[in-house]
Amino acid sequence: MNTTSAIQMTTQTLVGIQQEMVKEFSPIDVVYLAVALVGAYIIGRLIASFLKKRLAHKIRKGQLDILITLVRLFIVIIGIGIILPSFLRLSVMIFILIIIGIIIVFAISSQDVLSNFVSGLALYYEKPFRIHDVLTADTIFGTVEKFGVFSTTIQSNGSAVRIPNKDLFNKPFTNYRTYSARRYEYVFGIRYEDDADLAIRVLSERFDQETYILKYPIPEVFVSDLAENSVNIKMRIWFPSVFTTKQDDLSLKLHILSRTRDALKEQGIEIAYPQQVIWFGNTVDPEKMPLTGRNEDFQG
Amino acid sequence: MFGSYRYPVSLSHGAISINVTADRKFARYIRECGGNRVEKILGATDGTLLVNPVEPTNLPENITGLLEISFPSIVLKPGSFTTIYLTFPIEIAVFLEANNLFDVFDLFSLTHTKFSLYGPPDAGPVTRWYRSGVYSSLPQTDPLREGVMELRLQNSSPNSMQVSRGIFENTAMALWYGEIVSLVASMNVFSETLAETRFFDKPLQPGMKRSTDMFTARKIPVVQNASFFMEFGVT
Repeated sequence: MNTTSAIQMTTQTLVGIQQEMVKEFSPIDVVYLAVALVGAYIIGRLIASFLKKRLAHKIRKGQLDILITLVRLFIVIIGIGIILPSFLRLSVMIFILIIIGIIIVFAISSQDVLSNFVSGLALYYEKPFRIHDVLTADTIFGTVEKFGVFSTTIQSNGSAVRIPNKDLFNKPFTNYRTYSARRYEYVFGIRYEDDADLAIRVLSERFDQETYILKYPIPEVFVSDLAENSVNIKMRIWFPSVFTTKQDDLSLKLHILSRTRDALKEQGIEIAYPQQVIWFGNTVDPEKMPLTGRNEDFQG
Repeated sequence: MFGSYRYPVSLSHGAISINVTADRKFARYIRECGGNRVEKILGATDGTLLVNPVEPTNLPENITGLLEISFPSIVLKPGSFTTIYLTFPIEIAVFLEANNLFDVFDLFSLTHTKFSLYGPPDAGPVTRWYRSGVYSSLPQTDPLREGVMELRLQNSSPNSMQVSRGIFENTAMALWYGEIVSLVASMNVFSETLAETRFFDKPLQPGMKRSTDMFTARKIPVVQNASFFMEFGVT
């Protein structure tokens, strides 16, 4: 028997089975199928509602959503698995083979979907972030709102951004809430005539009064550079991550630098600004001008 | 100032004043605390307010559930047991009572809040930090600002231990109030890096009342951790 005749024979057999099944379908069979599917759907919803009530305060929302989706999917598959073989007059073995075939075709034709699903499971297992964590993924900065089986939704600037799970799994991202505290560095310059030690002392005392600047690790304030126009002072301070993720870095920087400037100003210390002193020969009193060299040099 | 009051009512103590005046169809609630004024409208012209101290981990916002009390070092001999008294900050909550249920509608404090990190940045939790003295008997405190904690210290290690801080979890904090605000806690030191803290739901003096805590009022289901393990050191 060659391949062509085998295919023809299989096709004829399948057509025969199909015709036989179509002949034998009665309206009551269709009703049974519909009732089973609707029943599986309703049971799935009831179990989802039950799980939500029982587990909402024990499991994080994202994890609960995934659990509920999987349970509902499982119940629908079970429902189909129970009713479809008898509806199609198929043995359970043949039905399972058909299902496996469908899964293989589905897997090949939807690699991206499968890849996102597997990445979702991997992320769920690894837990590199949680709901309400603040992330920068690629160029998107925002708060994780929903972690799904195939994608993760991040709220960024008031918009919902959907990121496929495989992107989150394969590419680097930054989670600002993994650790409970976060360090910030700020640099500002004071004038050369100001007392740098006093500035450091004033700032250390001021930081001790600030609610959100952590007591420990102790804020570090030190002279970091003797620049052209200023003595640069660097501050390394820690904040609770929960606090820092409620506002953008620029707002935090403005808040801290504003407090810093106020504290220094109270002590008469000014923030330096770029300046250059230019002396013009014709505006300087020659008597006060320091003279070097011989007098003949100025007589032309 | 702490207790249950039918409103309209006027309460004033030190820097805090609470006034509830009845209008035609509603009541007006005005609270002043250290220059900060809050005004709210209550839907009913009469009702019951409950003013009591609550666990000091809610203001200015919910950042942490841990209270860290730093105090001068105490050296404990191996196997020794001693009781000390510390002070801790308090927050004051105003609850509205309805059908024996309490809803928080105002929360304030006279103490300054400071946060800290207990342990290394990659693993340690953020705490609400407070500096206390160490007392051998009940210290004098302003009950609107500070409470008194009886801390039963036990050194279960075979070595002498130096202790200078305690970390306490807010879920099991049981505050009692009367002439003072109190907590009773224990700290069992196992090593330089490990200790266990625990609260006891009992008053420090006779005649004290149990505070309604925020978790009960907010109907937040919490797993009450009977104890907290300090895994990043006791100094």
